[in-house]
Amino acid sequence: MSVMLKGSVRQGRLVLDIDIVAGDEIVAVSGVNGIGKTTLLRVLAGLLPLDAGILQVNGNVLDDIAHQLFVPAHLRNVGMVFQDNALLPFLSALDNVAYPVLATGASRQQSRKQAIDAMGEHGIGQLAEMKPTQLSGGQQQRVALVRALIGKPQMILLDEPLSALDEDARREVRVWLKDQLNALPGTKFIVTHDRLDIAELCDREIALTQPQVQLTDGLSQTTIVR
Amino acid sequence: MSARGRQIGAETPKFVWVGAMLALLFLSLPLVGLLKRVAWTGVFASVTSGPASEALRLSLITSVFATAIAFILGLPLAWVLARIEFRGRSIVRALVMLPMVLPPVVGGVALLGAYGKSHGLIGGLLYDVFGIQLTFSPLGVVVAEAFVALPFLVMAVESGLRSIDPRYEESAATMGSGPSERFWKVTLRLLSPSLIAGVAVAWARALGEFGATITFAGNIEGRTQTTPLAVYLLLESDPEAAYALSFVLLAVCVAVLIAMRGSWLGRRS
Repeated sequence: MSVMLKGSVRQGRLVLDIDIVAGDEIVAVSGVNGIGKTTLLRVLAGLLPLDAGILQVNGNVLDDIAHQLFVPAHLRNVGMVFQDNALLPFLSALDNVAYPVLATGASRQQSRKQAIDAMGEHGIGQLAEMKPTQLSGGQQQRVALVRALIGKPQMILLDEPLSALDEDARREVRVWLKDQLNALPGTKFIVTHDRLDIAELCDREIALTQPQVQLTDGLSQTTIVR
Repeated sequence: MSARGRQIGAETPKFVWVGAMLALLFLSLPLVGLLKRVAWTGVFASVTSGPASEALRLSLITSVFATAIAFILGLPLAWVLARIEFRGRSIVRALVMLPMVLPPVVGGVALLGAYGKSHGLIGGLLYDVFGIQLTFSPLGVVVAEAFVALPFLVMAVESGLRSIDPRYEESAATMGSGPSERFWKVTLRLLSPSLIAGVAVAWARALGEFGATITFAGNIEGRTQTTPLAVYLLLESDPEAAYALSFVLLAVCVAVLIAMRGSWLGRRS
């Protein structure tokens, strides 16, 4: 039981009621555009506090409105891929990948070495010195994935991580990603529209729905109210 | 420039061409006049001797300090205006922008009201407790210049902060960077074009300050007489030096425009 989230959050006109229990598994988050998939990831990441309820990860309470407790993103040790990857534009691909290692207090040299190894392992070592704007969308997503996984995070949040890849690359990265994710403990959430991603990559699916067509998958019930 | 290939209905009427040409002429004629009057062989000698060089030296020092003050105070203020929602934010913003539209002389009078030694709000206190007199001192020049330059910096930096995609700072947060590390490593980097533009325009404004300076700090040669004040006075006694100094200010402003071209004057290609 890695992640327990029960609560609600309001963002703009969106009200998200969430009740999720997830273990060491890969969870697909699906649902139509604008229903709150990214909002859910932001709550888990610590970029958006709950308005009510409680979030617990690996036994630690990260967000508890009743006790005025909120652990912000930088103290949560998450690995996140943003929808348009959000690579820092002024850093090379290598320094982007090295950033999470550097932030833990490692030396520049050591974090770069680790980043080079991680990129080489994924076969994108040749992109190391390129700036994000010099990379194709697919290459950027690969770099963002390596960057999200390098810090051995306790929770992984991927927002449409394969969307910019073409069919062949997608298949290839999917296999690599599955190995990587299976090697890491903790809960992994993947927002995706792709049925193949869900089938091949994920252990189960959480479908965000409007309340009148509520879907329940036994362990979790996720509703969204407008 | 050619009107060929334009959509029907979007052709440029003739009077627009005429108006645009006249406007361009109106703006450029004085510049040509200034450049024509500059005695090129004597420029260097004129601005490196006598009151002109004193004024330039003073202007350089005071404008750099004024810009530094505008930077140190303006960056946090721009942050608050851009990123914190509070009641009355638009009123605060209007207040910040006021010195941009206020006649500089009025700004100088207002500064006297606040920091004047005998009648100012806190001028007496400053003098009695710290022994600081702003009026008729180089420090007063710095204050007057910073007062008029600050809004320009705030405006540039605020719009820069608003145009930063928040996901970059959010991604830095998920990678383990706390608020201050994010500020230094991410926000400042993304903000640097706006910061450069803001500093450049604030500095240019401080360098050219006339009204608030002469009202608040006076016109004491070698002490509070900045370059614009010197130009005004030299026009009577030594026109050649006045034109030489004017040319120097013009050249500095052109340099500032070139430095800003990436952020305010369209894209760097």
